[in-house]
Amino acid sequence: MTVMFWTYIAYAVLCSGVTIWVGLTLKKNGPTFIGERPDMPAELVKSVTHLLIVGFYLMNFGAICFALRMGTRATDGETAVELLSTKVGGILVVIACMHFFMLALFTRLRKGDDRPRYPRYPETTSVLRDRMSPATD
Amino acid sequence: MTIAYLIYLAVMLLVTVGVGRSLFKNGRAFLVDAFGDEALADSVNHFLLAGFYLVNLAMVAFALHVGGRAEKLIDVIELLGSKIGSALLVLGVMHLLNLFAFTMWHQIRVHNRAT
Repeated sequence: MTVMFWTYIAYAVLCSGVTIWVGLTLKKNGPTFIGERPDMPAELVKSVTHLLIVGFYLMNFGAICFALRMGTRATDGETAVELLSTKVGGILVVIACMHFFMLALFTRLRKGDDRPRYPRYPETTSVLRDRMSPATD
Repeated sequence: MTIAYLIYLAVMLLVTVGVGRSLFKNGRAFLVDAFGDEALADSVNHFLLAGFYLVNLAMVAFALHVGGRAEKLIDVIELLGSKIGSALLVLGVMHLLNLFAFTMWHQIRVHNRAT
């Protein structure tokens, strides 16, 4: 059982390390990537980046904990390394997907990306718009 | 198993309070931008924090004995992992959905102003 215990420790350390590293990179470079926008103060850009990164951390740590019990049990060093690499590899794919998802969202926030994206479904959203218009005018 | 329950409760309480405070502090600017009204944004922010605590604590309490029992250390670690992990995944999905909802609100408001 001690083999499995150390496998889990190594798994947790490796996966959390990569998650925190990617999260810090996103936090540091996200606002620069989004750039300055006349309609969004720098404080707001930072706040939105922070909120998105909290979601990133929640999803990644959730996946790391959830995937802990997936796979078989290792009995010796060799099977432990195989199991560890499979598990860490799976989590790295999840982290990569979340990373590109975050990049896609940052790109939508980016300066100069002013493609019209509203209203996408005019019939549906006009109901919402009519309901909201007294409060906004 | 008592220790496993205690660890589970401690971790989930820490995560709930920590993430809740962080979102409350950093979400304000986002909400002010989405609603265009500081008083409304502050009240929505308080509602969101209360809702976050309620949903999270309810989920933690409800899921306390889901997943069976474990006696050996390695089983306890696996059980704790999957319980904490599923709670975190639910929170993450809920948080991102909230962000999309408020962004949509913001876009509708901007659209109203433009027309």
